Amino acid sequence: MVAVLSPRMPHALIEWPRMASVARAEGFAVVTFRDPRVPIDEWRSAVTSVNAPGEYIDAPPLSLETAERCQLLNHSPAIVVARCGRAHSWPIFGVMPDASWRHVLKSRRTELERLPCP
Amino acid sequence: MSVKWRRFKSAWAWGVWAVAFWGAIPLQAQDQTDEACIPALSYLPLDARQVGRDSHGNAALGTYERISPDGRFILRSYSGAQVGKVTLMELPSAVASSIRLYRTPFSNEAFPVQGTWRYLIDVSGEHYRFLDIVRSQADAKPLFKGGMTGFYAAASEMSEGPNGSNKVPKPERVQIRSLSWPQNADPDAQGVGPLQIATIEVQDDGSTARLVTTTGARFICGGRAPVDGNVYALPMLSVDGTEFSAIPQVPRVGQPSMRVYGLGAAPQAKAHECDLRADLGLSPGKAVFGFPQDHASAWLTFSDLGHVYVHDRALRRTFRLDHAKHGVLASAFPGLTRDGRVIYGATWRDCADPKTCPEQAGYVVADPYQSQAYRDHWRAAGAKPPLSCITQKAVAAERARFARFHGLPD
Repeated sequence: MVAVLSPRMPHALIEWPRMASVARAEGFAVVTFRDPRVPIDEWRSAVTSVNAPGEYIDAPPLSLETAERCQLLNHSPAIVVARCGRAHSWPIFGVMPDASWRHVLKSRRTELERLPCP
Repeated sequence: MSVKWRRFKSAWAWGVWAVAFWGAIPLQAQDQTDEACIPALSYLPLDARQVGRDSHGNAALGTYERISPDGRFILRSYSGAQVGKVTLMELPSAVASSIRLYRTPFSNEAFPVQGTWRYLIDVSGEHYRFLDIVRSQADAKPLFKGGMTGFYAAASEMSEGPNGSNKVPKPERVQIRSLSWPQNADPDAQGVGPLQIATIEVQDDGSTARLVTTTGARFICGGRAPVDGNVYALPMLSVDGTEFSAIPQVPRVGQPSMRVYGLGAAPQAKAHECDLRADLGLSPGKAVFGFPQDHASAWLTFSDLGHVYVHDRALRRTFRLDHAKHGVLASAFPGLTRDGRVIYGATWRDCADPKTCPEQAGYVVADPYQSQAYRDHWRAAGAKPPLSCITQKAVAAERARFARFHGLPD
C-alpha cells in the first residue's frame, strides 16, 4: 500500500498513523510518501508539531508525475493498493473510521486477488 | 513564430496585465455605476507581519477555508502559532484595503452553519454566535452544544428555505442539519451506511440560545449500498442541508466519482432517500455547494490539481476558472458566495521568476461567469449566457444583507 500525505490537509498526518496501523494489522505492507509539492522543511515542521511517529520525518516525496498519474494529489491521505506489482486503479481518499477503512481495504484486496500474479 | 501565435501571446499577455491591473484598483473607483461587473479575478495577499510566516518565510495561509455567504469572511484552520489555530479573516470591500483578522477560541476544523453563518461550531459541537466571535474573538463563549461532530463535519441552516430567498428571517426556532463520519459509530449496529446526520432545533431569542430537540445521529444511505457501496469519501453537506456530495469508495456500479445525493427536505426527516442527483464523472477534491439560484440546482466548486472549477448542474458541465498570476496553487477548499463568486486560498507569484517575484499567499476572488471556459461554452452554443458577470451591485447587496442579518456595520 502506497500512501501520500500532505500536512496541508486537515487530519491527514494526525490520523494516518492509526490507519496505517489498521492496515498493517490486516496484513498490508505500508509505504508512506509525502506530497511532492510540500517542501521538506514544511513537512518536518508539521510532523513534529502533530507528534507523528518519527518514521515519517524522512518520508520521501513521491514523484510528481506518478502522483498525478495515480490521482494522488487532490486529497490526503491518498492511498493506492497494489499486489504483485499491479496497482488497483481506484485510489482511496481521505481519513475514515476504522470499520470503513477495513471494509475498503478488504474490497481492494479481494479485487486484486482475482487477478493472477504475472 | 507565426503571426497568429504572436498575436495570441500578445493578447494573452495584455489580458493578464489587464486583470492584474484592474484587480489592484479599489472597486469603487472602477465604475461609478454599481451595475458594473466585478473584476474577473482579484488577488488579495496576506501580510506576513500580521498572520505570521510559514516555514518558507511566506505569509501563513492556513487551510480548510470556509467562505461566508457574502464572501466577506473566511473561517480558516491551521492559521499558525502567531494568531492561534483558527482565525476569522475579513476580506476588504475595496481591494486596496487590507485583510482583517479575528482570533477565535476554536480548534482546527471548526465550521460554520452554512446558509446564514448564524453560528460557528467548534469541533466539540459547541455553537458560538457569529457576532460574538467578531466582537469578543477568543473570549467568546458558546451558546449550546449539539449536532454532529467527527470527520468531515458540516452543518447547514434549514430554516431559510431551499431556494435562498432574499428575505432575512430571524426565526426564534432554528433548524440545523449536520453531517459527519464519526469514528466511534458502529455501522453494524443499524446495518446501514457509515455517514450520519442529525437535525437539531434551537430556540434563539437573539441573545441566548438553547437546544430544544434533536433527531439524534442517524445513519444514512444504507439503501444505496447495492449501487454505491457504503463508504463515502469527502462528504460535504449542501448550503440548505437537503443534499450532500461525496465519492463512493467501493461502488458496485461504475467507478468512484464525485456525486450528489438527496436528503429529506423536511428538517426533522428521519428517513433519507439518498437519491442520485448528479455525477461529476471525476474524482476532484471536496465539492462544496453554492446557493440554489432561481430554483435551479446549486452549483458546486472544487479544486483539482491546483486549479479551481465550478460545476453547473443544469448544464451538466464543469468549467475551469482562470489564473491571472504565475504558479497559482489553489487550496482544496474553495467556496461559492450567494451571488456566485468563487473564493479560495492560494499561493502565487506576480511573475515567473522566483528571484524577483517571491511567492505570495492569500485569497483569490473569481467571477466564474467571466471565466474563459464559461464564455467559450456559450459562444460555441451560439447563445447568450444567463449571466454575463457578477455585478458590484449584487456583491454590495449580499454584503448588506449579511451585515443586516448579523447586526454588523456594513
